[in-house]
Amino acid sequence: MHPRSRRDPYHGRVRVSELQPEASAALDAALARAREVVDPADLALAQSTIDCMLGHGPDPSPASDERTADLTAVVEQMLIDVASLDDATALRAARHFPDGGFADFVMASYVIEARTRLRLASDRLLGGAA
Amino acid sequence: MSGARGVRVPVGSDGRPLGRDQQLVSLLAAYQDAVVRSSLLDPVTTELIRLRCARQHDCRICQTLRLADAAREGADDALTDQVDHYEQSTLSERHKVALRIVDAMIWRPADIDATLAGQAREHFSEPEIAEILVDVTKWSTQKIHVTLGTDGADRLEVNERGVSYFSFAADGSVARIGPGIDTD
Repeated sequence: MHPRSRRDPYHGRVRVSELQPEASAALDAALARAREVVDPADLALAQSTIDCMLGHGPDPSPASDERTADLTAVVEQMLIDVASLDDATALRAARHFPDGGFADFVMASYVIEARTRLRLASDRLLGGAA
Repeated sequence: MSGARGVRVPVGSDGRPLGRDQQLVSLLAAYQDAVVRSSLLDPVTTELIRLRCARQHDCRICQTLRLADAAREGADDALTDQVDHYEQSTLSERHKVALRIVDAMIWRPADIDATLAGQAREHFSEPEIAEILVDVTKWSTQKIHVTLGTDGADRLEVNERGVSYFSFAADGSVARIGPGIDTD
């Protein structure tokens, strides 16, 4: 992993960003907006779950409350096999967003996931971060 | 699986989730448009990548759609049906390698090994590999819709084979969706 990735996983440099600068900048912009509109604790939860599940981060702390457990369950299933995500799991998480922020949380989680997958694959297929 | 998936968030008359941050929606759309504007790969390869993502994520709308440019270049049902069992298929080795990269990206990118990296470099240039990677993330934004249960295809006008064709404008946005390859 690039040293900068260890300090700030949101901004890990990936080689693909050099070859796809326009797309990479657009994904960065989406992440910046996600950080403005999604609760930082929820975003951090998504990040730590993604880091752990995709194999390059420490195991997250056990869920301390129902909200953490419910959101983690959705992010995990999105990562493992979104097709198998059932209604009950999704609805348990969605109930924590009575004002409609669940879709924003899901979008934000996906942006983090996409950046993480790009970084991992870029490292292995394109030589990764210089 | 997909047959039992319900809509999991309040939606408007257009079937889209209510209350989303429109700036975030627009920025995600801008990302997808930027990926589409990159056109190093031929349309058939792009379509195979797109359909593999659609099948793996079980996105109903994505599985109903077909890329018109790819269909014009020969991506018919006989070809695209092979994405489900591509290793045993008659697809070219270049296409098989592209689909191996797709699967690795979707499942365990950390497990990409030197063998796949070598195959990738044998069949694709570095810019093409980069395009495959961003393609997978573009065609996997459907995971958002699958998660929210808003991936239903019931609003699409389909042809007798149950598919609908789509094409892109120069800016990368979707220009047309319809039951025929060339219908406007």
